[in-house]
Amino acid sequence: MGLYPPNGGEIYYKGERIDNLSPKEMLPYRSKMQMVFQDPYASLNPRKTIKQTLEEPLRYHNQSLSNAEVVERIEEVMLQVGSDPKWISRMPHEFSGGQRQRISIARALVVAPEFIVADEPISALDVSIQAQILNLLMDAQEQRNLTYLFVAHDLSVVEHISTNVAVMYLGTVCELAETSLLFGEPKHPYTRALLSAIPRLDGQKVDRVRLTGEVPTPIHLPTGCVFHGRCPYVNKRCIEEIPELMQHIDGRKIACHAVEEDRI
Amino acid sequence: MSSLLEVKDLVIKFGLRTGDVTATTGVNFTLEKGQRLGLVGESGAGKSVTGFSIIGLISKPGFVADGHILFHGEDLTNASPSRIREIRGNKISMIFQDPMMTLNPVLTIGTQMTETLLAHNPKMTKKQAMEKCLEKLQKVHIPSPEQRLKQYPHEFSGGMRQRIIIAIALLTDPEIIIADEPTTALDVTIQAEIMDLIIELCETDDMGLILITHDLAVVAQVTENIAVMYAGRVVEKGRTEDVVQNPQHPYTQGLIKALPEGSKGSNRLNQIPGMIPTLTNIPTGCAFHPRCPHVMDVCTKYEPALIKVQGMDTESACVLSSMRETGGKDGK
Ligand SMILES: Nc1ncnc2c1ncn2[C@@H]1O[C@H](COP(=O)(O)OP(=O)(O)OP(=O)(O)O)[C@@H](O)[C@H]1O
Ligand code: SF4
Ligand code: SF4
Ligand SMILES: [Mg+2]
Repeated sequence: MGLYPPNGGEIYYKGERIDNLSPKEMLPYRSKMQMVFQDPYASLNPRKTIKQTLEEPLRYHNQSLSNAEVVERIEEVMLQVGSDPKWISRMPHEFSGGQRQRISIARALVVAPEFIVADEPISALDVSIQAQILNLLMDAQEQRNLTYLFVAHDLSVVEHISTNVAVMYLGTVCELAETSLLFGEPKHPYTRALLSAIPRLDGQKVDRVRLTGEVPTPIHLPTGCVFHGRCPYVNKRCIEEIPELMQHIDGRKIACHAVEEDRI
Repeated sequence: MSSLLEVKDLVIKFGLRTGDVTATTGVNFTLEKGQRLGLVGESGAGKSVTGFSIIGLISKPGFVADGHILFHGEDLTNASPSRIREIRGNKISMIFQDPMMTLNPVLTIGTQMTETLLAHNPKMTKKQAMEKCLEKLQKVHIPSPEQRLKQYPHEFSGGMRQRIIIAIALLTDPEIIIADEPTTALDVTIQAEIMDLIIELCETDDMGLILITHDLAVVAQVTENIAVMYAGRVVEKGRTEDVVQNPQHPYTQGLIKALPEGSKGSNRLNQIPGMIPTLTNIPTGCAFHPRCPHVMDVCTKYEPALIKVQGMDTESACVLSSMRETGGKDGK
């Protein structure tokens, strides 16, 4: 989203490099890419009415819209997120967390984006409200043909909403695969441990992959593979050499020497 | 024989300037020796205040307005302050939602642990206290505990810190541990390790556990019994397996179907319409009635009591269960 300048690497959007653009060059991408944040209390400006919050990005990206068109677009998007358009003159503090998150989603949708980064959009909400927001996100995706980058730590939610999953550990992608492939047969040692640790509703104990050691801090990153301090398959090469994310025969990508060497 | 712990019709109120508000009413559950009970509910359901009131730590504007908390049959709600002190943090220990409520950042782990011990046993020598601390650190599987005792809380990772907090809770050899969201801030793999540890400790020492959490899957993994809270009431309780696999109360049913895992592969999750009521706005009759798919006239008028569902071990506070009971052949 251009909120942090990267220290290295490149970001491409539809084949165009975007990480080195000036704010002006970035402008056309801004309306195509939107973000929904984790904390529904911090992400809405407390001094703006809902109408002002929704109107601002809309006018910014569509300067030719008439007042009537603006109101029409706002009412339409409020309805889509399951909020009453009559509420648009209210302030954020008059709403519950779930309602605020609906308005945050409305703010992202109002500029008709193609791509939305949703950073833990439901983790601050109660379970019964989480389902409302997940359904809303999935409906919006279907109706508007959206692409989501959905950031989450709750694996059952990830499995439910995603078509593809990238598992990260200490800032590094370990495994990138289609959802059914990843959950059906995790390959990277960290993914295996992670999936075996999910508590399950049926109370059934899966064979837990036991790890040793603790999660290192990002300030003292280990040498070689970031997971080597806890990995049951570690060897000398893992401590010295960073494994690259490589394509596996079944199409997924994995960053692990043991998988590459066919040891596991 | 009386139960290890019995909570009966517990009412907790907060005295606010605008008048008293009721945080819980009708909290009922029993815990036997060595049993693990999950207390689940969404934010504001009254889980933490229930836990606090059991160890007599309900904070200032809050007070126990009615009901009983029986520990081995002895009512703690009218016990003397000195008796409460004997039990709190001694026979009943609590692990708090926020680890910094237990740990002082400027004292070493060793100092904090020995001070806790000496406060409860003034006759103990420093050496005895040290030995006890080492024993408990070993029990929670902290490697090289002698060195660890000299370190400060910030020198530990989140998972290790949680183990230390558990070790502190164990210092007085409690009969009951109340753990309030003990792993919410931890990585999934570490959470699983801590939960394994808690189960192991309860089993080896025959300790009772009250696990407070909003995560039904964690409860399913760890506990044998469950009490589901909604708006300050226990609305369903029973064996965890029964309640999770075959929930009886419409709220529990909705909650489970709202989870991706409980929605059985369907693309849409079940939505419970509306919101959790605020304390000042608890609906009349059944507190769940504005959100309930089965609501009837009577639900808005009478508050259903927690009663046994016919043919099951589960108890549910819903008129549907009482109808089924009176309609059944051994209805009372
Ligand atoms: N000091 C206080 N003054 C007034 N009301 C309070 C106070 N402490 C708690 N409450 C109220 O009591 C009710 C129950 O709170 P409690 O902390 O037990 O909820 P909980 O079930 O533990 O929720 P969570 O999952 O968010 O921790 C809430 O509505 C809360 O607002
Ligand atoms: S590279 Fe080595 S240490 Fe890293 S995950 Fe693979 S086997 Fe484990
Ligand atoms: S008592 Fe009525 S409103 Fe309450 S849960 Fe039962 S059916 Fe629903
Ligand atoms: Mg709480």
